[in-house]
This record gives sequence, structure tokens and C-alpha cells, in this order.
Amino acid sequence: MSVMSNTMKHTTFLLALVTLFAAQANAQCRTFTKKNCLPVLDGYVQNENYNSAVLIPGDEAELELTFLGGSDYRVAVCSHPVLGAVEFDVLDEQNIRIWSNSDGSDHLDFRMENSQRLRFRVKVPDTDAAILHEGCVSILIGNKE
Amino acid sequence: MKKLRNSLFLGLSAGMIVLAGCGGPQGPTTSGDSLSQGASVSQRTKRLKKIFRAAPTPMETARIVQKTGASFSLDHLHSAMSASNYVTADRQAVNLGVYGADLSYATIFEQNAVSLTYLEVVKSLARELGVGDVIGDDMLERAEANRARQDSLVAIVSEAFFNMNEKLKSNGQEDLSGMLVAAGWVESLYLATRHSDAANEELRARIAEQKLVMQDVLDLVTSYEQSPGLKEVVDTMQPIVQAFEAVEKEEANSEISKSGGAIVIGGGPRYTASEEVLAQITEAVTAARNQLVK
Repeated sequence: MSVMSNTMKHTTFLLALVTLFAAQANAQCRTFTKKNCLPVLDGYVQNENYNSAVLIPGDEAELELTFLGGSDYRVAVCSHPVLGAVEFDVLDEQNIRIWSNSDGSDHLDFRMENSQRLRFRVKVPDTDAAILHEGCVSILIGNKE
Repeated sequence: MKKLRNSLFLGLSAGMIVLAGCGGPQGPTTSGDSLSQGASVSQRTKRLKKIFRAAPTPMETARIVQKTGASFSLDHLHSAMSASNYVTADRQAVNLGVYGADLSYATIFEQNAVSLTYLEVVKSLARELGVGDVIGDDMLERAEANRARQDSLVAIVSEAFFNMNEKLKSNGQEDLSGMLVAAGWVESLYLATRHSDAANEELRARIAEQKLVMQDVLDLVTSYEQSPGLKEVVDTMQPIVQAFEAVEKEEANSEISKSGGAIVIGGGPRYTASEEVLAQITEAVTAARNQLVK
């Protein structure tokens, strides 16, 4: 009975630790996004959605969103330098790749003629390192007239 | 022995927290508080694919509606006097979305005095909901000082709602954030359809295209845990979903070109709604909106 009770205590403690750790990582990610990513949208009005996550090498992230016709947009992909050069592609509704950041750019400026859904696919480069670092990755959207 | 093992376990666990908080001895070598804050040694090795959900904002919708030549009418906004009627968190979140959309419309149509009134209403409801600190007195002062500058007001309103969504999510209240987004979309569509009987072709097309935005909103809100309040809002939207089923879609490939160094994305599917379909959408949106502001 006491072994079971100890096991339960340890499990609860570990769960609390994991939760605390995740909450702390997410809070740090929010601070990172506000200080380092929002300035990339300078000159654009930020969309109200907050899209940030803590990722590790080899992880992917995707954002699919409707972009309204007649508007100019900036989509910024901002990542912590510890993750290296993050790759990102833009795909249209038919899954055809229409742009990629092969030049290493951290944002794409474009004008939409008609409303359509686009998908932004982000990939954190993999690594052979024994110790994996996790870092914040944010996809931010801004628009202007 | 057992005590020693337990102490070791607790000690190691506490050590893990400290290392995680500091970034650990193997942490990134970047400088500056915010950079060191965004990374640490990972406790996870399994790769994942993170799917983000988002939707265009009422501000974006208001802007494209204004471009069609539609006019502004104060009578169509939800009465600012009703704000004190909402006493539960669910009703407050829903009506924050509604008032947020009204605020966006007033701002885009340069009704600056109305904008300031609705910003006060939004601040008051946000405070009731426990996220009032995202609209501080300094923000209201900035809005007042820039009341003649539409671009400043647009930036202030967008910043307020970005912070509010982020705060609700970080508080573990994603369902309230979902209610706010869904109700905001319904209200912005309600305002867009107020002149649908005399809508020009462009406004009709913009309303038909909202079928895409509706899908974004539904994908976003159904990705959150379905609390009874959020489920009720999603159910309220169902007649609108049914009305939009009659919107026709004509497939076409995207066309990419460049203009002055910027990328232009053209082509893509076209959406059209007949007058009859538009009337059905208007009726469904009106009923849903009236339900939300009850």
C-alpha cells in the first residue's frame, strides 16, 4: 500500500513538474515572440491570432489561412537562433508550392488579388547533436491597405 | 535507504527545473534576455508536427467591405448600453467578440468618436472577464490622443485583441478565445450583409468569399476543447454553415507574378452567390447574431 502511495506521489510530482516546465517554456516563448518577432511586422497591422510553439530540430509547423483579395500581407516566420535556419514554403489550395525561403528570408510580402487559402509550412532543420535544444517558432501575419 | 532515494529523486527533479529555467549549462550562446528566454535544452526527442489555426480578423473584413463602397450606419452596431447585461464569462466573451467587430467597423469607416466609445466598452467587458490589463489606461490615452489618425486607431485595436487572445490562451481559457473569434466573425458578417438587398457585384463576391473565412473560424474553434459555451456558439453558427453550402465555387489555378519587387498572388478559386443565396445567408446571419447578443 505504501509502495503504491509513494509511486502515486512520484507520478503526481513528475506530472506537476512537466506541466510547470511546459508552462514556463510557453511563457518564455510569448516573451520571445513579442520582443523579437512582432517588430518584423513593422509597417503592417498585426493579425489578432497568436501562433507560437516551442519546437525541436526535425519538427514541422503548419498554418492554413484565408488571405483576403485586395490586401497586402506580410507573413513572418520567426525562430530562435538556436534552431538554425528554419525553412518555410507557401502552398496554394491545390497543394502546389508557390514560394519558398530559399534565400533565407524570414518573411514574405505579397498582394492577394482574390481571396484564397494558403498554407505556410515551416520545417526546423534536423541535427545530429547529442543534446537537442528547443526554441520558440512563431508565424505572424500582418496586413495593410 | 528509501528516504535517501526519495530525497535524491526530489533533488534531481528540482535541479531539472532550475536548469530548465536557466537554459542549462548547454543552453544557447545567444545574448540578450529575450533570446535566452526563447530556448532551452529539450526534454523531448520525438518529432512533432504543430498545426496552427487562425482566421482573418473583423478588421480585415471591414476593410474589404468598405472598399466595395458600402456605407456605415451606427444603427447596425450592437448597443453599447447593453454591455452591462452580460454577467457570465461565456456571455462576456461572446459579446467581446461582437463589440470588437463593431469597434473594427467604426474604426475602418473613420467613425472615431464611435470607436473610442466602443473601445471603452471592450475595456470594461475585458476587465469583467479578467483580461482587462491588456487594455490599460495608457492604451486609452494613446487612442484619445490619436483619435484623428485612423492608422493609429487600427494599430491600437489590433494590438488590444492580439494581447487579449494571447492572454486568454495563456490563462488556459482557449474556449473563451474561441467564442470571441466566432462571435466576432458573425458580427462582421452581420454588418457586411446589412445592405445586401442593394449590394453591388463586388460586395456580393466579398460576402460569398466569407465561406472560406467561415471554414477558418470553424477549424479554429473546433480545435479547442468544446466547453458547453463554445459548443453553443458553434451550434448557433450551423444555419449560417448551411446557407453558405449554396455558394458556388469555380476552381482555378493560382497565378504568381511580380509587381515592383512584391509578389502578387492571383487566380485561385472564385466564389459566387446568387441574390437568393445572399438573402438566405443574410437571414441566417441575422438570426445567429441576434441569438449571440441576447
